[in-house]
Amino acid sequence: MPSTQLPCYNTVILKYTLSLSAKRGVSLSNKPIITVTDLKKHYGDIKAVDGVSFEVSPGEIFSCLGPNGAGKTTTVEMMEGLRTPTSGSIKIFGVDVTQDYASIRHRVGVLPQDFEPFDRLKAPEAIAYFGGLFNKKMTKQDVNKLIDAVALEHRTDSVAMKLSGGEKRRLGLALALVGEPELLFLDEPTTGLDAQARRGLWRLLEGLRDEGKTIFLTTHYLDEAEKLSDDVFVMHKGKEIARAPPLDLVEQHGGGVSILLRDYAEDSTEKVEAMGFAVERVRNDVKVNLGEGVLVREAIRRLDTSGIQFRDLITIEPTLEDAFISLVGGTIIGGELKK
Amino acid sequence: MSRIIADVKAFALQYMRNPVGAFFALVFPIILLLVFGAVFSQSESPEVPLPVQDLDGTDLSNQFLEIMNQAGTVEISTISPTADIDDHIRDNSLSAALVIPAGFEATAVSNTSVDVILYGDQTVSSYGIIVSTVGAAVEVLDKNLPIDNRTVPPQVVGMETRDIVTEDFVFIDFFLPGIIALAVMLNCLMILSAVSAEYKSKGYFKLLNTTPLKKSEWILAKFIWYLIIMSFSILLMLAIGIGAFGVKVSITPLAFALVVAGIWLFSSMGLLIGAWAKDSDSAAAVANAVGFPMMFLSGLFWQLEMMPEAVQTIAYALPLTYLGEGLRATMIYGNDSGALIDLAVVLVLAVVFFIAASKLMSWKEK
Repeated sequence: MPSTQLPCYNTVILKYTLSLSAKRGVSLSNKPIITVTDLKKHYGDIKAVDGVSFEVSPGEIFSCLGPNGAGKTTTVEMMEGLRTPTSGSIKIFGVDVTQDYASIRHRVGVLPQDFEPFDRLKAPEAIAYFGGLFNKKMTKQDVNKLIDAVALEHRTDSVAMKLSGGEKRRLGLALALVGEPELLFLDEPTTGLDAQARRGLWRLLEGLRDEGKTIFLTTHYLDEAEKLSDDVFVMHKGKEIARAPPLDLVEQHGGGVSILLRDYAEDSTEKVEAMGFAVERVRNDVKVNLGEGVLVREAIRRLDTSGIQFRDLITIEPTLEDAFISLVGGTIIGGELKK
Repeated sequence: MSRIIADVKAFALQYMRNPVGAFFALVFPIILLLVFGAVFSQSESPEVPLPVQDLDGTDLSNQFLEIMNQAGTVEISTISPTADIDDHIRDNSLSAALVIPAGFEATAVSNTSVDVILYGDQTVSSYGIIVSTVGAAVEVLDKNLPIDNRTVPPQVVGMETRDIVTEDFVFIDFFLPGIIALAVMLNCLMILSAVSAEYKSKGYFKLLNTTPLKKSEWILAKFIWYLIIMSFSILLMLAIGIGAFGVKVSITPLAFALVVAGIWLFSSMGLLIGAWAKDSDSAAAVANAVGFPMMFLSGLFWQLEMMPEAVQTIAYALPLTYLGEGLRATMIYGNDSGALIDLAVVLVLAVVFFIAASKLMSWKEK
């Protein structure tokens, strides 16, 4: 956690976090719901997870971000009691899950990465079935409430095999919510969904966080982690690369604000470089990287008064993708790391 | 218990919406019953089994057996001379047996009347073949007796018949217990192996492992479901068997116990195959490779005694044989002591396969 570099900026983040926490009725002083310490999972010489440690606070969305093969699913499945760690400890609600996952199972909802609904059950039947498994007597109203929550009210007469990919994921989320869990493990919940379906699911997850649920999310979507997360844990090759709130990661590793000069004159590049800025040509434009310690207002004033010819000027904020590229040396496209 | 009930309900919905499950549970046994009923209620077996107890053990008795053998209509097997014939018939659920009395040769050559004793069920259609064969053999033997001046007209050697079964059974009755055994095997072994492999490959087990449902509860729920669906299927078979063919069988507590044990056994075998297979297709292939030979080699459609000896040896190594034989013994012949032995074999095999399946079946990832 950066605490000294930009105190004013951090104050804003802290206020935002406090505001969210107050809205959710969650105290920041609460003990961590999840404590993972030096967790390892080795398959022979392959180190799928290699000594990761982190804590998850109540009421937050904690994203485990990384490309395919980073060890995200192995990590979350060990936390779900589905895989046995090679070594290390996982405590959820203070219980060592490697010894006694059964005692917390009713407090946890899970949407596995490869979730497939029961093909021949309709959504209300599947929800009622899971209600039975969690020893909950579900009335028709209870079932409909969950159906409405995941926006499946128009597909209640279809068996699951006829649902679209997005609808199946939403049904999976409904099943994860049946037991009214305090903690949700969602393993790549939006993979394979179109943009509209992803945004719909994001709104749903934000609503769940506002209700006070803790969400552990794995994702390879940088925008998803940036949009949803209170905390991001970047994993690569089984190891922790970084862990911080997304804005802090961007601030620390995003490379600072850039200014894009639209339709710049051919001879302008040298002039901008002469002003001490790093320059990158992007088709007909030029991207000026301001670097640390340079105020945007001052940079704009200098560029505007330098006599350089350009049609317009756009400021570009760094994103989590910029931070990720800086940390890992590539970005994620289609789940794969691209250098 | 609510978890088990919830799982039974959900599985029932999925099962009945799967055309394969409904076909094997309700349609296929009925098709078999109708087909075999139509075929075998009118036809005869070319070689009818005939167990013989030779209490004489002389040249003449051997000559008599040889004459019957040459007829090619009966397949003779041997009953130990020390066995009590009534007990042996009951314990082995025999529909026919022949006894050559002690002193057979000595009596006949002394020109004194002597009879072989044929025990048989007159209502079984093969009984006529046996009576004809034994009667003809008696005549041939009598004509060839080395007697110059006969004092016993018209024949020295004769045949006495005694009834075994008093119930009015017909040949189709023989098939009904076999088809019940077959339906149990098909549904539990073939369907559950594919279901279990599908649950594994589609991640359903992983999903269920995130709920409070235990593996043992899921397995118990499957047993309960198969008990329900098989009870319904058996009632349907009985209704059609009685309605279409006038089937007369006894529904005994032992038959119920055998069905329950059979469900346990073949469900466990199905779970074992499903746990081993990578996906439902390979599970179905293995289940078919195990199930179909067993279907035809376990004496469900014809008596084991009618099959070659080597095949009989294989048959007695197959679990379905004991379920079919046990059901037939208690439902047709009233041979509960024989059925109890079959039940014991089925139960022992069920325990073995259940333990193996439980150990191999894992809901956890590696």
